Amino acid sequence: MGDLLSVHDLETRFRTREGIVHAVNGVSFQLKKGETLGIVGESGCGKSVSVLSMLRLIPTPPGRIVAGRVMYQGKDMLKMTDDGIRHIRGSKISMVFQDPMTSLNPVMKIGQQVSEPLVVHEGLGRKQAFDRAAEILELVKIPNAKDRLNDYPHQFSGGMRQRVVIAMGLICNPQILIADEPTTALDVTIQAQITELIKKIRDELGMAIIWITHDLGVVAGLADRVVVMYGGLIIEEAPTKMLYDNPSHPYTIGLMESLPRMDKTRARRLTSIEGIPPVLMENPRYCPFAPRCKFVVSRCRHERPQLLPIGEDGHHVACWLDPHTGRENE
Amino acid sequence: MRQYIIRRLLQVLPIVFLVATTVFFLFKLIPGDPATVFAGEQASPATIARVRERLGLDQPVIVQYWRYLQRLVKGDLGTSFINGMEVIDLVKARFPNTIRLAFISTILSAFFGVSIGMISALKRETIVDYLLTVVALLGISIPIFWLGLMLIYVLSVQLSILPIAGASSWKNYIMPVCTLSAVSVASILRITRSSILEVISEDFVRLARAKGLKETRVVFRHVLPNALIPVVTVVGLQFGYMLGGSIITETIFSWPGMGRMLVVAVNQRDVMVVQGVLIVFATSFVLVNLIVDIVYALIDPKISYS
Ligand SMILES: Nc1ncnc2c1ncn2[C@@H]1O[C@H](COP(=O)(O)OP(=O)(O)OP(=O)(O)O)[C@@H](O)[C@H]1O
Ligand code: SF4
Ligand SMILES: [Mg+2]
Repeated sequence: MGDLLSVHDLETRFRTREGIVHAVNGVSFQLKKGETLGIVGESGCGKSVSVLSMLRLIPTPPGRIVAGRVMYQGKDMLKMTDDGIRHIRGSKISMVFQDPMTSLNPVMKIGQQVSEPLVVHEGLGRKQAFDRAAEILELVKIPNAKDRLNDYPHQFSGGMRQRVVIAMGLICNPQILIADEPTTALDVTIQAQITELIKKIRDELGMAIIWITHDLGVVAGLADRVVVMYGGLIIEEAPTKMLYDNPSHPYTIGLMESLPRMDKTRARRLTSIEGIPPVLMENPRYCPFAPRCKFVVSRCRHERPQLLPIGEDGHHVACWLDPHTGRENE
Repeated sequence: MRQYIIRRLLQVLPIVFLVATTVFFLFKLIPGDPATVFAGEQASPATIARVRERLGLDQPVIVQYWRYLQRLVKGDLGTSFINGMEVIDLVKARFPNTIRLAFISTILSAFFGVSIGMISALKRETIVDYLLTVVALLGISIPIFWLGLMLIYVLSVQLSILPIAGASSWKNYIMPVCTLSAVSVASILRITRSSILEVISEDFVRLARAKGLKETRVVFRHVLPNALIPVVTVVGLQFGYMLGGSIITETIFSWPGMGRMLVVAVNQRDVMVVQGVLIVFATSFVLVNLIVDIVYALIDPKISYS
């Protein structure tokens, strides 16, 4: 099928003092070579846990991946040996986290941190690794990169640190870069710069990107395809333009309606839908959106709708109703 | 860096001065007449008066204080009332023994505290961790004189495998070091464990794993260097506490160090020796803290030297 990466029925839970948190409840999606996939959804819907589970970076305990397959190069990453998955992490698939202030080791020099993946994956010597680090730091537009290799993270601003983290992710030339809200913690102007930077690098290097965000505005300009998550599930998936032109899940429709007319980036956060996000204390055997949905019918409260193709190419929705006609889907 | 050290050293001077002053006036407040102690209980009033004059105790306090400071600057801590020896010479003879004991104990406490704390943290919430936590609690709560006496009872009296007293061979070190280290190992273990647990959930550690590093590399390159920063302070403080702990330990094991000398001097009301020992102890404590601060500045890049 030409999928670079495919995730099937991924389920991850956390054992907490209050009970079991069903963070991810059967997520499936595919990523093609060079494609940019956006994952959107409000806070706590399981975006981070989904991607962390793929690379088995969930803290265990309390977390546990209870089901699913993550196929990469014909192998299931969830069943690989520890060594096997280690060779993929940071070399074939790398990550950038939300908060650049906490993503770097405060007592290790930047040069060492950035070159570390090269040292462990390609066995490069210190000198060569540092040269490559300087190059890659230049690529992410760190001024005087060569002279900054011996600096420590606290000597960099937030935006610059995120550039460093991105450089670290890119140094082994990965096939996939997973960016988990890489700009959320930054100023608006810096956000735009970082987004532009990643876009430019993607076009140069041709890697695939999974971009997680709250911000529908950012995704519109960046992603080829978008999946929308709610309550640990994917509730809609479509090519970006199709999703914006024809949102078909009541939750997605709500999101689009809450988008202000352009500008005001800040206000585009997905917070303006009525009701509160679900607490994932039980595995939803029904539609997780039912408590907040204006179209809810009795079936919604008893049966969980599957993510099924509707009409156009590649458009999938998990809902019992067709919200445009009000008729029940079959 | 050199400037930082020099500046910190200069800051030590006023503290030492304060310590010396406090010690001096403390002894002026204590009831009892040093001249009587010096001359002996049976001495005639005339003898005592002569002694008082010779020791300068007939002078106004402020004059005595001034002379005391002058002598101190020259490194003169006075002479013992009991045996007439220079206090500084007594200190020179005993202090190395105390330092050696405290130093060995600190090194061993740091080694065991850090490694056991690390195991405890990496095996968190397993039976191993719980056991180690209980042992650490015991270590902190056992009174050290009791521990020392139990060791002597079992290892020397019952099993006769270790010498009870003295400092003549390496075997003599075992029990005092164990006694002195018990609390420190436990404290260092606890701070190491909690510090590692704090660091291990940080984003940069997760990112280190996401980079594909082996778990050992994650622990030794990313977790430990950060987690050990607060541990350094505790280790330094432990060294300071050991100087205090030496008083009990040295007494139990008849260790020829300054702690035991202090106890003996107090019993004999040998004011000059007590005064000298206190000044040396307090100054060492201040110096240890200084060293800790400097080490801290060296290992934490976030601290600038200006
Ligand atoms: N270590 C953990 N222990 C317990 N619960 C966790 C843990 N990590 C995540 N969860 C829970 O899993 C659920 C999903 O969290 P996740 O971090 O994936 O959300 P998210 O969609 O990334 O949200 P955000 O936009 O705020 O980053 C949340 O309810 C969260 O409380
Ligand atoms: S399945 Fe029912 S509750 Fe869920 S989104 Fe569709 S209509 Fe609303
Ligand atoms: Mg998240």
